[in-house]
Amino acid sequence: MIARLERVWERAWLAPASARSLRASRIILAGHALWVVLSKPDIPSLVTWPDAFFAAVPRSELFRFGIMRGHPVVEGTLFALLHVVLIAALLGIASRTACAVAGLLLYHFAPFEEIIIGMPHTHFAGLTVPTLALMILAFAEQPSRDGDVQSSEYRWPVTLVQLIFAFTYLFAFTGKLRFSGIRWFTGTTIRAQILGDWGVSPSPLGMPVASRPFLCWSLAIGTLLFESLFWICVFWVPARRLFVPLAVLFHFGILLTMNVYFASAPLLLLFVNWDWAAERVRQSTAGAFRSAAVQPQRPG
Amino acid sequence: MIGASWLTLPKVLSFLFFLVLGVRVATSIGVGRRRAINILILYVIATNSLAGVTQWDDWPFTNNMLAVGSGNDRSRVHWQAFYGVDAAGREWRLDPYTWSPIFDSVLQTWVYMSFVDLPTQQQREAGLFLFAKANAARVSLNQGKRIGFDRRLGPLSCPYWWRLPRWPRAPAEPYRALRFYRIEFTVGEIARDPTHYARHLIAEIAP
Repeated sequence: MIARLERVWERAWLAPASARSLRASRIILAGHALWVVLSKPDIPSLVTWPDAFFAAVPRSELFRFGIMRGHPVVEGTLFALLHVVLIAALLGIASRTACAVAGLLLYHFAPFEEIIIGMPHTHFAGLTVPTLALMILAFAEQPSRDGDVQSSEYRWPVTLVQLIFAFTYLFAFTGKLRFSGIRWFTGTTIRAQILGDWGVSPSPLGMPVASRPFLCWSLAIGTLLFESLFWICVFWVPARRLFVPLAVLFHFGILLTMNVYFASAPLLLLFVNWDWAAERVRQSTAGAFRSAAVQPQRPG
Repeated sequence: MIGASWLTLPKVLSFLFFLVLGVRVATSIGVGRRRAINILILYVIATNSLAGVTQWDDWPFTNNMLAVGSGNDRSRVHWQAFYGVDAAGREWRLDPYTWSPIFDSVLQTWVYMSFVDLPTQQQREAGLFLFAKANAARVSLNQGKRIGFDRRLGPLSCPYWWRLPRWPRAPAEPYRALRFYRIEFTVGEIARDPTHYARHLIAEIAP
């Protein structure tokens, strides 16, 4: 039994994988984090906000994330450095160091947006997975420049990052069970969630969907199955063909019915088989060369 | 108080321990390396799972809590709305990027959780700061400039996760006051009549 478990573990985490998938993960994570950071240029200025906004925030929480109130120049410099290291990680320049520094700076800056209210939704703002994932890539072995090189060292970091992403759905599911039980997954709850959001931020499809019980029940059962089962595609690759398109559909549906945008949606690219994509590109390029080779030479 | 401060230390330690295990992986070679990798993987899974199952947040090992409450047509929803008041007394709904880097819905939660409990002097300090920010955003919007998340990347920016309606129109003359309203509605009633809201003034701030 133990030996069998060991084999399953080895296959899941340490079977040889290509350097390409590890490099692709770094580019996706750094590119995504850079996009989010570029979208929030005012983040360092939070340290200039008056004391009143921090009255309910324990000082220890500011210490925990290294937030230096009253030092906008220091925060501004660190924020500029974050951009530089994310670009370096994206381009593969001193990539392990760049990933490590980027991860630490994201740990520092990601909480800024919600620290004054206790960070209830920081996980949903797009920087949580990159914070942990860039650190993990810094701990992992530097991938070979030759994308086809295979090593067990290239498997575990990619799988771990995919699993952290999959936890987004799995623990959203356990959270619903923890606070509302299985009764959350009913048409009544979906209708109340959609209408509750619609009353604040009217969405294009909110009212039409909320007024149809069949659609509400379909969304409830779909959410139950999707959130509880998505993690399977981390370990069983064929399941990605079903779950990744479903995830795209799921997020479009939430956007159109509730105006909720999942900032980490581009990280679904982590589940693309980049070896397959590279092979397709290689085949089509080779095909183009072959057809060019049989074309008659143009007279000079 | 937002979170018990005694919980901060274990949360800091959980992150530091992750770093220690990671550095151990990065520096180990040979037989010990595989063991170091296995321990790091198990630690990340265990810490994330503890946060996810108990729903105690230990960001970046997070609980991923979102929309966990159940509800029905009798559910009561409340939120806050911010308005600038011009010299003629007209109210202008403020754009949700007015408070950048804090998004409108975060400020709503702060007003609900903290503002009303502050001593009068701190309420005034916070109010005047927000009043100045509202007027600064007004000037930019009135001049057709982009604010908040849109400032650098425009329509290509990553929006805040909750897409509230934008209110890009702003007057040329300064606001003379800022108003916070509490808006309430019942889910079933809003479905029958989208205008069925109750609006209560929480605060008016004027210099």
